[in-house]
Amino acid sequence: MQDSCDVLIVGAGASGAASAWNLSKHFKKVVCLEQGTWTDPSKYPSTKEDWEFHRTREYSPFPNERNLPSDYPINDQESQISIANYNAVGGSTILYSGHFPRMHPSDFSTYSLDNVGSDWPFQYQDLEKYYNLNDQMMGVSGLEGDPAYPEITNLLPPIGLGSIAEIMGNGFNKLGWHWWPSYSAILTREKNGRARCINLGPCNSGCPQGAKGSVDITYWPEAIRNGVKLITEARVKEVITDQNDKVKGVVYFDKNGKKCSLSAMIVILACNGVGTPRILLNSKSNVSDSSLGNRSGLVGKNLMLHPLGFVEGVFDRNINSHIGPHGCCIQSQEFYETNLERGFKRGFTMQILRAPGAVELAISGIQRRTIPWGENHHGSFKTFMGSTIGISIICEDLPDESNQVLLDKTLCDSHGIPAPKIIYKMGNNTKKMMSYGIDRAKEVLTQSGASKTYSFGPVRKTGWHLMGTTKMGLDPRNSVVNQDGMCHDVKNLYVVDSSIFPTSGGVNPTSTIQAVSLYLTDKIVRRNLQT
Amino acid sequence: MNKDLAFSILLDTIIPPKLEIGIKGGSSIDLEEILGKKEYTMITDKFSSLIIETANENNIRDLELMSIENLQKIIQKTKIKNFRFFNHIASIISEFYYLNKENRQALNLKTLPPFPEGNIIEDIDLTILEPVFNRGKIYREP
Repeated sequence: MQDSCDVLIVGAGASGAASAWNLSKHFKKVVCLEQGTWTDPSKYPSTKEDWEFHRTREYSPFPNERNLPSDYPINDQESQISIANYNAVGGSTILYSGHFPRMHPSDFSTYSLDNVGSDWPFQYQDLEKYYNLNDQMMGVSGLEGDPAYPEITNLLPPIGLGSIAEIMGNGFNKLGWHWWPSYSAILTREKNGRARCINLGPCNSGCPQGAKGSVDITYWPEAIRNGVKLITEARVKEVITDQNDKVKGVVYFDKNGKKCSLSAMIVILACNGVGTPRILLNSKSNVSDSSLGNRSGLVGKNLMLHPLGFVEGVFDRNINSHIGPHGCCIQSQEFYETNLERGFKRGFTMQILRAPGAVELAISGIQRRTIPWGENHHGSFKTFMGSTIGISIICEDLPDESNQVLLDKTLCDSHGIPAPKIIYKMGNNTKKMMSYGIDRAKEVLTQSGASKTYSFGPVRKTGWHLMGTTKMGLDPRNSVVNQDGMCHDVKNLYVVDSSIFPTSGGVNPTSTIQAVSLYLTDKIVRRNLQT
Repeated sequence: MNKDLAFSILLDTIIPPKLEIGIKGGSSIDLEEILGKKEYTMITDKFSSLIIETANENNIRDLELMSIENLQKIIQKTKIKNFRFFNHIASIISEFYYLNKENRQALNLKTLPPFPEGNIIEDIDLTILEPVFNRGKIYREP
């Protein structure tokens, strides 16, 4: 071992950043290894006229399309859903929409309530103060009083809702269904030197304004001020342990491709539901024949992806629906909780989406044959541009061991490290849920005045939310990490990202990922300062 | 007609010009420049071979001798049999057509997003949420 630290964090995204910041207040030497590098907000596509070109290339959410030096390939040919991520300081928060709902209290007890999935080893109430702390760190706007949640306070004013919220709100009201302004990690007032949102729109290709809470501009500046050493362009190959499988450190490749090692008292994996199991599967145990931390055989299994249904409503007038934060407007959780009369367990969120830009509209219209070739092409294009509202159905995905991350037998990254292979198929409960959700979305769009609706699902290129592959639980026989996030089999090796989620909920997970990582790192502090 | 002319007719068949109101067609985009000679040649070669294959079935032996009207009919027939390939071309031309600044101006599409000025989105009257609020709690306690 050439170098050492107290705590070594792998991954500088949503969970790694929150962990680094929290631990930096208590440990002297915290190091984070990140395979990507810093992004330059002045180069984000939103600053350019041809932003729609770049967002499908170097800012694509799909690593197999980007092929940047920071990326590793992912074989997802045997998955119904393509895997998305972004490898940089900030991780996928660089490209996420900023939609920031919390999980519901029932999400932590799905087995007790509905006899599906597993209960979490802690409850919503245990996380509440960490959700609140994280909201302050990220800067979250919204509206208090939402009857879909226990009280949430100290929110910034909601982002500009505009005519589409009014149109859809009236539709929801006619049906007597729940809806509420979205919780958005987007500033509506200046905060800590960050500017407020100016409604540029394509948040999913980086926010040059700095209004969207990506962790490169929220947690990382403070963590670095507190002394955390962040090493970029450092790709971890494996975790190494002593003869008793107590963690010793990691082996990684530095920016020059040199193989290095770094020892640590504590190692924390924060690489998402694909990256984390990949590292564990590439690491060897010294006490068993399995890969590291895998005596349960569950590393990589139970992959959950939030299969997404999409319904688009077309209105007979231009409602400028393409202007504003794409993913943040309003949401409905009318169908979030289990109602067995619907024919499935658990539920979904309806996220109301603003319309796409001209290029995406033209391409999707041509592919779906809603915008034809020939004489009527321009007329149809005009009918759709700024006149559509989308609803995505974010379905709770139930854990299923056959959905999994494996190591590909032949595919490797640029350092020769085996790449992940994904096997994923949507379960029956989710299929029924999606079908029901699509019908409800059509219903509310029609009530809101849409003259036509188009629906799709599952949408292939939507594998943003990667969960479940190092399941957390009390029993080492059916989980990978314990209630503190520590591997049952490997002392002082922790996982703090969404791979530990026993169940997925039916909401975008970033808020919960970060609250969980703050909660678990507080436990790490207590445990280690006591001993 | 040569294969480049045939290909440009395909592009105008996908996105036709409306010259009377100043809107150009798909062939106004220089795909050879954008895609590079190698990829462009690969696409146009495949296109012309598919067209000739269909033309042969209709007893037309040579692309050079084909009229524009005949070509358009042949394109439609070929498209049905080779949907994925033609969809791929349509996606490429759509992307670069709608990225083109002149076309956007002609279609009155703003070159969004307007950084750093931003867009204005009006607030709405939040009393619209009263019925939702008045319904009371809808979440489940464990």
